[in-house]
Amino acid sequence: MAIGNPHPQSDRKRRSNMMLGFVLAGFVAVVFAVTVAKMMRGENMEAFDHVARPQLEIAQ
Amino acid sequence: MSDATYTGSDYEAEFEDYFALLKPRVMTLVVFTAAVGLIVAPVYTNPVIGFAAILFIALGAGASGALNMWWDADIDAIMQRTENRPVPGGRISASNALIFGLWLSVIAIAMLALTANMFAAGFLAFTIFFYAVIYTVCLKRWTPQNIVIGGAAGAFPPMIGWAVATGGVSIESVLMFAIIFMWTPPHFWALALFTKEDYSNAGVPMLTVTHGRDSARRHIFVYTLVLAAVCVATAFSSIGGPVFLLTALWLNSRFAVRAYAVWRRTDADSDADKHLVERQFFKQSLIYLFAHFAALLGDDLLRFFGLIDFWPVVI
Repeated sequence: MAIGNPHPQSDRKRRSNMMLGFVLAGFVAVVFAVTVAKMMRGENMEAFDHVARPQLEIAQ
Repeated sequence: MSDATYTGSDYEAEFEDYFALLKPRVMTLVVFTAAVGLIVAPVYTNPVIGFAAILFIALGAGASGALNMWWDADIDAIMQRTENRPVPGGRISASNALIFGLWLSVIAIAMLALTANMFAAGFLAFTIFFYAVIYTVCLKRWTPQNIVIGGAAGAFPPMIGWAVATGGVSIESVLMFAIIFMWTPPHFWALALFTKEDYSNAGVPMLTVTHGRDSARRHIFVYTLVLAAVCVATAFSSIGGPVFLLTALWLNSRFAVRAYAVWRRTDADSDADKHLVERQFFKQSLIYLFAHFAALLGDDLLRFFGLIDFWPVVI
C-alpha cells in the first residue's frame, strides 16, 4: 500500500499550516527586531520583579 | 447577528479564509494612512519600531474587521457584495470569527503598547471598540448617519500613527483624521447608489434607503465641498506644503465636478448607463485618498531637505 496521502484536502491543509508557520516565524522575528531596536536605544532592561529595586525608582 | 449562516459541513477553514476575515483591502488603507501619520510626525521613530507599530495597527484593524463580520453575518448573507465573505459563505463559523477577532484585538493592543506607547495602544483599543461596537452593533442598523459617525473608525489610523511617534494628539493629526472622516460618507454613498438594492434588502438604513437616492446625491456633493475645504486648510498646516496644495487643488476640483454630475443625475440617467458616473466617482475616491496622503509624504521629503522653509504655516 502506498504511503502518503493523495487527498487534495491534505495538500490544502499543509499549505495552510505552512502559511501559519510563516506568520508565527514573522511574529517572532518582529518581536526580536523590536527588542534589539529598544536595547540599542538604551532603554532600561530591568523591571519590577516583586522585590524592592531602589535603582528603578525615579529620582526625586 | 445571525446563526443561520455556518453550514457546519466538514469543510475545514484555510489560512486564506481567516485572512479574508481581516478585510485586507481595508487594511491597505489603514497601513498606508497610519504609516503617513507616523512618518510626517515631527518626532523621529526608529524604523524597526515604526514598522512593527504599523503592523500591529494593521492587525488591530483586521481584528475589528473580523468582529464586524461576526456580527454582520446575517446581513452579509443577504447582500450580493458580501455574500461570499467567510462567515456567510459557510467557511468559518460566526463564533470562530468572534474568538479570532477578540484574540487578535488583545494581541494587537498589547504588542502596540510594548512596541510604541500606552497612548497609541489605548487609541487602537478605542478604535477597535468604536468600529466593532459603536458602528457595527449600535449605529449601522439604526441610523442613516451610520457611515458618517462610523467613518471615524477608519479615520483614526493616521492619528494612531502620529501617536506612535509623538505620544499624543495635535492639530495636524486631527486634520488627517478630518480628511478621511469627510471622505468616507461620499465614498460609501456612491457605492450605495450603484449597489442599489443591496442595503435595502438587508434592512440597513443607508441614506439612499431612508431619505431617497436624490438626497444621497445632494449629500455627496455637499460633503465633497466641505472635504475640499479641509484639504486646502491642511495644506497650510505644518504637515502641508506646495505638493499637497497642488494635489488638493487638482483632485478636489475634479472630485467636485464629478460629485456635481452625480448630484444632477436622475435615477433614470443612472440606470441607463449602468451607474457609470457613480462608479467613476467611487473609483476616483480611492485614488483621491491615496494621492492626498502620498502628497503629505512628498512635502515631508521636501521639508527634510529644507526646500520648503518658506511655506506659510497658518494652522
